[in-house]
Amino acid sequence: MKQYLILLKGKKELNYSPEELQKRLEAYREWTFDLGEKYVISQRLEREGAHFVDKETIKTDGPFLEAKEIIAGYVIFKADNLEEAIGITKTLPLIDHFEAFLRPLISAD
Amino acid sequence: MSLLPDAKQLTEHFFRHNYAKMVAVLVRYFGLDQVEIAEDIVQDTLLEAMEKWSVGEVPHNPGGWLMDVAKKKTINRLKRDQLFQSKVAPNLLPDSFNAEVETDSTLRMIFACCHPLLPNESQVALALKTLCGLNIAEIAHALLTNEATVNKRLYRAKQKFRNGSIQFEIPYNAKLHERLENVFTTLYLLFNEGYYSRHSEKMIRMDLCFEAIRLLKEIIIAFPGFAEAKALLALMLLNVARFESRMDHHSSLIVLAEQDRDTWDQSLIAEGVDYLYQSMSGNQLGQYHLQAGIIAEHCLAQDFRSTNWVSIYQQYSLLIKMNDSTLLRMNQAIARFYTGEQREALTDLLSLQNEPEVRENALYHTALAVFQAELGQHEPVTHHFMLALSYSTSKSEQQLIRKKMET
Repeated sequence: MKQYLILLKGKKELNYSPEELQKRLEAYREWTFDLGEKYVISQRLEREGAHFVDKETIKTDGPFLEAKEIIAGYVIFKADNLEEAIGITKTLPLIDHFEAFLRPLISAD
Repeated sequence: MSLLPDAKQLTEHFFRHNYAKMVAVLVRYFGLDQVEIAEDIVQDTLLEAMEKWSVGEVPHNPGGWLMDVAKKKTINRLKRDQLFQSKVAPNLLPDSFNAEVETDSTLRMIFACCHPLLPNESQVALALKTLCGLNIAEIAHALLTNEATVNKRLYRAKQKFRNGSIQFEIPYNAKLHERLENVFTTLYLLFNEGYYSRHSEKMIRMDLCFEAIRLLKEIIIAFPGFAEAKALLALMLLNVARFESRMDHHSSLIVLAEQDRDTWDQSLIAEGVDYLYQSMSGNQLGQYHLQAGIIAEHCLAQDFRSTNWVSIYQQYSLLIKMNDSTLLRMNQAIARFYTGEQREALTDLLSLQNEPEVRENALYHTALAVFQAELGQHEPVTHHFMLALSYSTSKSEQQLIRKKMET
């Protein structure tokens, strides 16, 4: 089994109602529970940070990034192959709110 | 390691109701005129909770966690804005966010949102936004209107907040009773918005009804001595118990015979009847008492025929004394018919035939036709059934009328 990384990038303004926020929270927790042993870790990233184009050029810094530019978080999970990983990513409830980049992690051995 | 799906430990609408509670507490410090700042801070707090709890444990006391975070954000906000520091910061004592303050703030917010200076439609929109925690899109959806209209209604309300004509306070003494009546009116509006709405989604309609019930219960806990509140709560509960087979705004008792009593929710009926008994403790008798009393008779009857029609007839008579209307008189006449005074009831009903409210009312003509048929007057029966059919606007009503025609 290989590990796969989903990188989440905001695609619209984060303007959800309290009810929607709760629904999203519940949906996500259920998803990780349903994945069982295949779930490894996930983490949200704070909105502050910087975007370097090169050593001299910082495109953005500070907490004022637009929501749609933010790399909002990542999820790592296990799957047998890319096909299965794509299938799992399609069930991720956050897919409605974010763009997702799915990539296999190269294992150390 | 996989997480337990313990997000379910959050009660239904937890975020929404905590949003409302926190906005009320923060408005205490910022003032009603700055309600938007409070809303921003609370929204930000919920966003943070969603992000943290999605991947980590939900804390044991999620409500307390939210309040703490909102408080920190409030202090940060004040540090950035020196102007507010002198006004608000001294009030932000360490223990100033306790349960008592929360309840007190929520009550103040209820009184502010149900203020008689606000136009009715603004009151309902504002209640949904500030007391129930819905956002603009959800309010527009619930009220079958668009976001621009909701914004306009809220803007008018917030203008009143800004110009200082509405205070963030709990009225006392002589004023309390009057202002509570305004609260009852608004909550009844909110309830009816759900109960009689043309909305096709049952979930949304029920939601509005239960929000009105939830807020009214908060009022009853705070002011247990006001029997009228309990009568109104009984009225709401007994109505919502029959939600599946409900009548529309202008329908009459005649439809009730056709309702499927098995779909009525017995536990809500029991709760409603209990509140109705409690509401009779004083010597007050208001419109809500009578309206609830009539519905209670229906809910407690085994079937249509064995209903206590004498009691219903008497309660309609009292209601008419308080607030006369043609539709009440129509229902009074129908109740009279089933008490056995059939000819008198028909005379009552016929005496209304030139009133504009019933002249084109399908149910009025149905009632006339049914009465005349029972009394063996075959000549005018078909005429009134045809009128009823022509004035009827709903398919289910037309079906009902045809069914009556055949019998």
